[in-house]
Amino acid sequence: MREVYFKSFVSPFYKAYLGFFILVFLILGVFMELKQHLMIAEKIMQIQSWFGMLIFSFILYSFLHLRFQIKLLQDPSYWIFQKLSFLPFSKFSKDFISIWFTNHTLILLYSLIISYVGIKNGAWDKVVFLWISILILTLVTLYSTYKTLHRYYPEKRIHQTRIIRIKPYFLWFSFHLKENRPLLLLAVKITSLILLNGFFYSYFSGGYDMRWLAFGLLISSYFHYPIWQEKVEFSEYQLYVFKNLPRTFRTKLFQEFSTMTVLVLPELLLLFYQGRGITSIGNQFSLSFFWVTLQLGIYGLCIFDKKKINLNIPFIAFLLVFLSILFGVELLFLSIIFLIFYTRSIYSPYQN
Amino acid sequence: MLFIQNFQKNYDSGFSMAIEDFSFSEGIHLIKGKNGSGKSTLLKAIAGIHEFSGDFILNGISQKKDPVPYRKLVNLTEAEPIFPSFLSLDELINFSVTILLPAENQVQLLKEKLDIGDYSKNPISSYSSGMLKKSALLLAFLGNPKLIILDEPFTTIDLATQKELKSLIHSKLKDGISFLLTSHMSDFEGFFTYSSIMEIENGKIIL
Repeated sequence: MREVYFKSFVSPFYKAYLGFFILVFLILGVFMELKQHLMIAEKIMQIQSWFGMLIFSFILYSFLHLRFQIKLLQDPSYWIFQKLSFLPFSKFSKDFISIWFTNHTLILLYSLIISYVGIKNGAWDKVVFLWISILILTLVTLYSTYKTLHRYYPEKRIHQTRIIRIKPYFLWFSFHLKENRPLLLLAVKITSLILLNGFFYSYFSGGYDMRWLAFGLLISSYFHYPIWQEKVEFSEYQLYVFKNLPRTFRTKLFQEFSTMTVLVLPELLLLFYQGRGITSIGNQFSLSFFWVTLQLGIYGLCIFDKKKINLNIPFIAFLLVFLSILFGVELLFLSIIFLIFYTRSIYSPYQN
Repeated sequence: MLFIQNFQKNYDSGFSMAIEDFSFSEGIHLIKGKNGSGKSTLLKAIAGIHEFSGDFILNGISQKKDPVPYRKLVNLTEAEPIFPSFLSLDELINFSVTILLPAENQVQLLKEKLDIGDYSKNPISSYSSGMLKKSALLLAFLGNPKLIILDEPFTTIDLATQKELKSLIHSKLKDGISFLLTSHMSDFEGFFTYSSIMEIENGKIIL
């Protein structure tokens, strides 16, 4: 049953606020270090107004989550969940609390940091107040959701015509991921950014050269493998009508390159941000170019892998690129190889 | 069995529906009417989905006073059912079973009767209109309702399933379950001997 709840109430929530969570993660998880978090946590514990703002932001988050959940429950396709009102509140809460915890992970994790600092500084009153507030928010959300199930469903009325803007072709895959695979997108991006950030930190601590960063990019890019596999499937099944329309190589290259760039943009931003510490602009450029072409190469691999040749192609490719980096082969040279491999895979006007 | 008390519903568009007092005895009842006559509006109100003024009393239980005990007695399938497209019928059945606690073999029996095979493990988004209708019908028969409301039940399903559905309704009737059926087509009217036939036009009973 947990899987049904997860698919119905957790996945749509993260899907709807995907942009917000990526932004929060970029700011809190990538651009800020743990010591900065601890410093802010100390300030929150010391200054009353900061602490008040924190509680207010938690209430706001919880309110927006509740509003989203109620709206979801009132959607005609969710009428079946009205049956949840047949359960006693205690049983309903037991089932729904896991949804609350999963959707409030951000708040809970931050509360743990705050509590750690608060306990260390002996601010027990604020720590207790914080967790009581969270407990109250939990109960209010659960009870309001439960009461919503008892009420009549509002009838859908069209108040105004919503204009759906035409999205350019190269954004279709990004929207597909946002709509249908938000957790995959979120998980891949978070893992890739954490990993890449870790490689930059160790690089700046000394003792490493550019090969270390290139190796980091190679590993991070391999985390994108499921995304590119999804793209191959998306092109194969959902875009099959468009695949049958012949496109020139130039058009395809532009569209594919744009799709890729949109998806690898967070890592590119990180490369520019962290790359400030790299003295040579040339090195910074070759790293960025290497990153984008790596993705193109992996996508080419996914297309190749689709033919189900009985060889572990992705593993062999990883090993070859790893050895090339280790023996100091120019990144630009590797990038050109990836580009050739990629262009070959999309050369046909009908394929991919 | 079901008593309608001063039912009234008004829409901003100007469409309104009103039924003063009306009662349905136990049995199968047919509600006829053109598209947009107000059949589905009435059925959703009886099922306790949409708000209205007045009340429905089912086996002595008032929808307004005791909404949850009332809703437990009513199952509804819509003319064009919709469910979360990412869930499978099996997941919807499991969800319903944990709440409604039907008899042990009920699900299997209904799956066989409605000819729902292994396809029920696939997501709803992949269902044909017939499969979707069968799914909604299965869910409507699940549990221990006293009234099953079937909005256009025979449309989109194949002939064999129509026959099975007909026999299913007959067998459930013997178990003391009543039915409210709607139709805007005359093809299926001869399937049953009705306890009453109601015709709705522009939100009013005309027959």
